[in-house]
Order: sequence, then structure tokens, then C-alpha cells
Amino acid sequence: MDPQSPYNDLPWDLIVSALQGELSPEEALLFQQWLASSADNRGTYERLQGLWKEGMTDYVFYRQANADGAWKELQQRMVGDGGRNLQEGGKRAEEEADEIEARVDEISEGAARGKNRVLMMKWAAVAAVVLLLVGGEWWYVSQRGQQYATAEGEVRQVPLPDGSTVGMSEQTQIRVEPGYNKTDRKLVLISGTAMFKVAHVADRPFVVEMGDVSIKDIGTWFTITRSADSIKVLVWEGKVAFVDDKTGETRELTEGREESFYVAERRFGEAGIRHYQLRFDDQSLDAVAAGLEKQFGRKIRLSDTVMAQKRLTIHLNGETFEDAIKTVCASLNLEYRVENGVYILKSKE
Amino acid sequence: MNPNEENIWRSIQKQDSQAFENFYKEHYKLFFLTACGYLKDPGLAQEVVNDVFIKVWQEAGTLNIQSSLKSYIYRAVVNRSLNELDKGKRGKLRLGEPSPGKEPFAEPREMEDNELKVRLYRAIDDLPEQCRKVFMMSRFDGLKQQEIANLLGISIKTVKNHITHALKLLHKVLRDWNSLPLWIGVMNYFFRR
Repeated sequence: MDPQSPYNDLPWDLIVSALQGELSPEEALLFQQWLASSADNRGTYERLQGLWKEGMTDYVFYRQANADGAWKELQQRMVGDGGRNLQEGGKRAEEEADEIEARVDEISEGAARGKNRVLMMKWAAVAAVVLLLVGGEWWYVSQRGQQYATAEGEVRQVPLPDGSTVGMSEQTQIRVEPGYNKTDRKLVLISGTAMFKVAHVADRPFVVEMGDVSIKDIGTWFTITRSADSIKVLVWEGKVAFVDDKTGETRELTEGREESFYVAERRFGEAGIRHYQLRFDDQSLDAVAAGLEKQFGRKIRLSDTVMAQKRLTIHLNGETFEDAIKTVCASLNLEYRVENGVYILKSKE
Repeated sequence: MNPNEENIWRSIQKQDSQAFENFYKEHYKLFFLTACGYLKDPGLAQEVVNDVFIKVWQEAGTLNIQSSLKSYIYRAVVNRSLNELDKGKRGKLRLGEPSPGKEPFAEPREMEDNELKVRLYRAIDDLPEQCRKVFMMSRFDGLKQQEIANLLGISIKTVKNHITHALKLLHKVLRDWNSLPLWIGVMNYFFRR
């Protein structure tokens, strides 16, 4: 093998997916054929598998190894050892002073009792301050919840007690509200981009708050990007409600759909679609409308049953809902109007 | 002990703190990782490594090291870690600590494995930032390719390319390492005492 360009002949796509357990049935078949074709291939994969699994187990510890910091600690300990000797000398001097003080106390017990009382009062005051600080901190933490932040270039996974997870992109701040998973499940996305994978719990809604708007989840997987100007939500799986908390206006977002809220203008933007392709080949309008409703989470009503049986062929590739409706109407010579958020299609007169 | 280590050891015996610091920092991660392997506690691992180094520094004048300095300290760290574990199990009853003239015991293979790990982990740290991030998310956060792509705003193909790049590099480190024992054997033959 050429050491300058090692392993370029290996099926890395398959190997990477195999290590991650993400082979499709077709890929699994190809991968098995590759393994079976030579002992070298099997040996290579075994080595890579060993690297991937056992070889990496201590990396988390390695990341915590700080030679400079540890060296400083070592130096301090060595100085400390010398310091302890000095302290020992100092201790002897203290003991002598105590002895003298004890003799003086014998002469004047009353004065000593007074001194002890002052000392006790001082300790009581210190204890009170400590209690106040500890109590205050507990109160502060319970009031503010748990906050997480990522630095530039840092990505972090935050597991939540209900089994949900938050994947934080770089320069992102979130706060898990106090009492999370007790009566409800509330988080605040303060800034940045976070991906939420939500475990479904029927009686505890999952809510992400972002000032004026919030996301109410119905058991799904979605990403929110919050900047000073806008809040963008993209749903990868399932369904969420994107709510303007002041007006109550709600957008329901389904899989593959994204929508933005513009903070300064207090309005939702035009819904967009990511990563979708819809193909309707010689389908009834009824079936096409049902497919669009499912894809976009919007309501479509057909004005009569005859029109519902009209057939058409359209291929959609990332168009907005509005454009999809216009394409359908143009194909069958229809027109549409919107009433209370419902798109009503009827034949052109 | 090879000539280079012998020079270092002589300097340490003469209480040359710079030589001591250089040796400490060069090998700290190996010893730290070794202690962590037993203790699973980074704070305690650092303490154990420092205990051993302080002892070596304080007793350098009387220590009689037959093998290599690195192996001696490695084995002292292993035994000190075992003592810590033992302390946890049996209170204050301790096994004998490494003492002058008595070299602690550990499998040589174990040190090689840990040295290899240090090389692999150093290679991961040296990966380009985005590549390291993808590799970490995939291997340590258990994220699927699609999830990584979504979170970082890149394609699945790019995710795969990053992981492939990291694996190629790690495999190369492993392959280079496996070709080392022959050279180590030759060096040991020439420098044995």
C-alpha cells in the first residue's frame, strides 16, 4: 500500500456507516461481500473497529489531562511541604502563647469568660453569614434554573431528565427552567442554534420559550435558531406548534417544514420547505390535496366532489405551499381563495 | 536506560528542576491516563502522578533505577493507583509502596498500549476543528450522520468525509506504531546494561 495515500482503495463510505451501525440493507450486502472477499479486508476492518470502540474509551480522560496545571499543583505541594515545616514552627510558638494566656486566664477567669463569649458571638455571626450565603445560593439556583452555554467552535449534547436531548451548536445559550419534568417541561433558548429531540410525555408538554414566541412540541425532533432579528424553526420529524404568545397566532409545522418569526416586525414569514420532494403521477386532485395537507400542515377544501376526481401529474421539489397550490390550479384550470387559513379550490368560472 | 534518559536522570539526581519539569511535562499525559485507567477519577489521578513525582524528586539521590526512568515511574503510578483502589476497599490497610531499590511491577505491554492511546488522542486533537467536531459527535455523542449534518448545517457526504479522514489518520498512527517494536528491540539490544 502506498504510504503517502493510504487506504484510498477501501470502501470508506461503507466502513464509516458500518462502524456507526447505519448501513442500509443494500449497503450491508455490499459490505459483507467486501469483507468476504479477502482476509486483509477483514483484518483492516477489525483494526478500525478496535480503534473506534476500545481505542477511544479513555479519550475523555485524556482531554482532562493538563500538564501545565498539574505541574503548578505539584510545585505548590512541594512549597506546601516546606510551608508545613514553617507552620510546625509557628505552631510551637502558638502553643507557648496559649500557655501564657492560660496562666493569665487562671488569674482572671472572669475576663476569659468574657473573651469566650465574644468569640462565640463571632462564630455565630460567621455561621449565620454562611447559612445566608448557602441558602441564598440555593434560592438563586432554584429560581434561575440550570443554564448551559457553548463557546465558539464548541458543540454540546445536554441530556434532560425525561430522556429528551438538546444538541447545542456553537455560541448557544439555553436554560432549563426550574421544576423541569415535574409539572411541565420548559426551556428557554436564549441565543444561538439548538436541536431538540423530544421524548413524548402525554401530560407534560415540552415548551421552548424565546421571548415573545414559543414552540410547543408534540413529540418530535426540531432545530431552532435564535438571533436578534429572527427566530427560525425547522422540523425534522413529527409536528410542533410555533406560537406568538402575545396574539395567540399559531403555525403548525410538520416534518421538513421551516418557518421564521421576525421579532422587530412581530410577524411570521412565509413558510418554507426543506429537503422534500413530492411526486404525484396521474393522481386524483383529492389525493394531491391530502398529500399537500400532510406535507405542509395546511387545510385545503375542494368546492365539489366532481372536481376532487380530476386527475393530474405534478412534481414538487422544495416549492412553498403557495407555489404548490398555484401549480395545481394552473394544471387543472382552477382558482383558490383563503378563508380563515383554509385554502378553498374551485373551478374557474 | 538509553543515553538520553540516563542524562535526564543524572540531571534530576543533581536536583536540576528544569530537567525534572521537562520530563514531567513530556510524559504527564501517559501517566495521567494510566492512573485514570485504574481510578476513573481525573482529580485523584493527578494527585497520584504528583505523589510519585514528588517521591522521585525527594529520593532521587538514593533511587537505584535498573530499567528506564519512564518505565519506573509508569510502574510506580500503576502501583500507587492500585494502592488508592485498595485504600478504598480496605480502609487504611495499604500495600507496600515503591521504595528505593525495589521496582514496582506492571506489564510492559500495558505501558505500550497507553503510549499508543496518547499518540492516537494527540492525533485526534490535531485534526482540523470541524473534522474533530464531527468525529467527536459521531463517536462520543452517538449522533447519527443525519443528526450531525443537521446540527452543523453540512451534508451527510461531508460528515462521512470528515469521519473517513479521522479514521484514515488514526489507522496510520496505529500502523506506524505497529512497525515500532522492531526498532525498540534493536535500541534495547544496543543500550542494555
